[in-house]
Amino acid sequence: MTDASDESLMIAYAAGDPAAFEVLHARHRGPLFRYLKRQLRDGALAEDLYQDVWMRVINARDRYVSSARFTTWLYTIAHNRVMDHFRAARLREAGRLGLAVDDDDAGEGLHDIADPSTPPPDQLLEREQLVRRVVAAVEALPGPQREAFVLQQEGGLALAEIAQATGVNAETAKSRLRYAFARLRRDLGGRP
Amino acid sequence: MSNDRNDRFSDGNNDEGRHHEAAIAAAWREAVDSDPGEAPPASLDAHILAAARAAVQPAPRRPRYAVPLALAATLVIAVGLGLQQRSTSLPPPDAAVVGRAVDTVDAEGPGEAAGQVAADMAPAGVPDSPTPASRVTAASRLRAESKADETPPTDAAAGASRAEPARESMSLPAPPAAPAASEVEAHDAVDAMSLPEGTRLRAPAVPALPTPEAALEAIRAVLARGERAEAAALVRAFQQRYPQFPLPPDLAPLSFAPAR
Repeated sequence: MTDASDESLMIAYAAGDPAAFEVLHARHRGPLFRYLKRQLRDGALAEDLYQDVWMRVINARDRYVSSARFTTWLYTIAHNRVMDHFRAARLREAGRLGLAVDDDDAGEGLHDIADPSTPPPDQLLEREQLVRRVVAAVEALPGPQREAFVLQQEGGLALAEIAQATGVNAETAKSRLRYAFARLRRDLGGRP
Repeated sequence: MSNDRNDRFSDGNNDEGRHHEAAIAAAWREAVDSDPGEAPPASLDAHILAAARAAVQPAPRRPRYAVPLALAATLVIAVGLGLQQRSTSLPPPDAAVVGRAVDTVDAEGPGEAAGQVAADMAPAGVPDSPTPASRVTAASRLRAESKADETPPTDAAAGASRAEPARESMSLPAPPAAPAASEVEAHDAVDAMSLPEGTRLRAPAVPALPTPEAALEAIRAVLARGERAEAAALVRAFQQRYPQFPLPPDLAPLSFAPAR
């Protein structure tokens, strides 16, 4: 069962197999939680919505159709819940999530960062500092860019799937992702 | 997780761009993998998995014997309470009363004996009123009986029946005690227990308890109003009241939501 696709697992769960859900949950628990945490910037709130998203998956099991990719469906639910939260709370982030990407970043020069696949010469401390800077840089991204980046990195979503999950067209999703990487390169360009 | 980079980056086709993107992605992966705070709490996952299992399990069927068993238990409790109240509020009948009752049973039958014992066991504070009714003729007694069948009994009538000498009872029909007993409530169990059989088992009206389903609907209504904390408190109260009743999946998360 561990080799089964997400879609077949979801269908098996809808048919009454709880073990299928356990496999599905194990696959996506970490990425989904990190997506919510990055978007909400609040661990406790992320836990609430994390639970809520999974409960919606459970409750909507009979409505799931195999033609939709499970990951896209899951992150569409998560995206909608995040948006609902911001609307309900009337936070200022709501507006930022719905706005276009920050065009000020366009055309800025890209800077090199150290390639993590090749460890820094001899200092682990430098590596740890870089890791912290990466997390901080991602969290500093504008909401739509951050969402596109995390959906790609955590959810493994392709451009079209990011567009579908976030309710925008593919070009917008592509721009958000491109600007996200550009900004990360800029922010991480210097050595810690 | 797909590695189809070309599908994701229109501007990252050059080698340098890909190199930088891969470096950022690897740094990000290392960052989140090394931070335990980037994973959801295990307890939360346990609750989610439990809810997932509960959602696909068939609802437990109520056994066939549940209703009869509940009725029998209610009856036993009601009778037990009545006996308990009687034993704590009445002094034990003395031997003379019992002896006379036995004599009456021998002479008149069980119906008359019950009425006589009831009269003798009445509390001392109840005024005995030997009115002229105790001296009426058989004809007037019959008229009184027909009237008693239509109207609730009065204390005077009850007193008259209690004051009836045994020898008069032997020649007259038994007083109509049944209509009086039909109105007796549990808090009058003392009098009720002294009435003839079949007329003393009426229990007081008990307000109907809400069903678990109705309670769940009420909680959903609270949740629909956006009062999540209130709904969570209601769910916890529901679980205490109906510990065997499974929570539906849409309300299950509230059971472990932190109290706020």
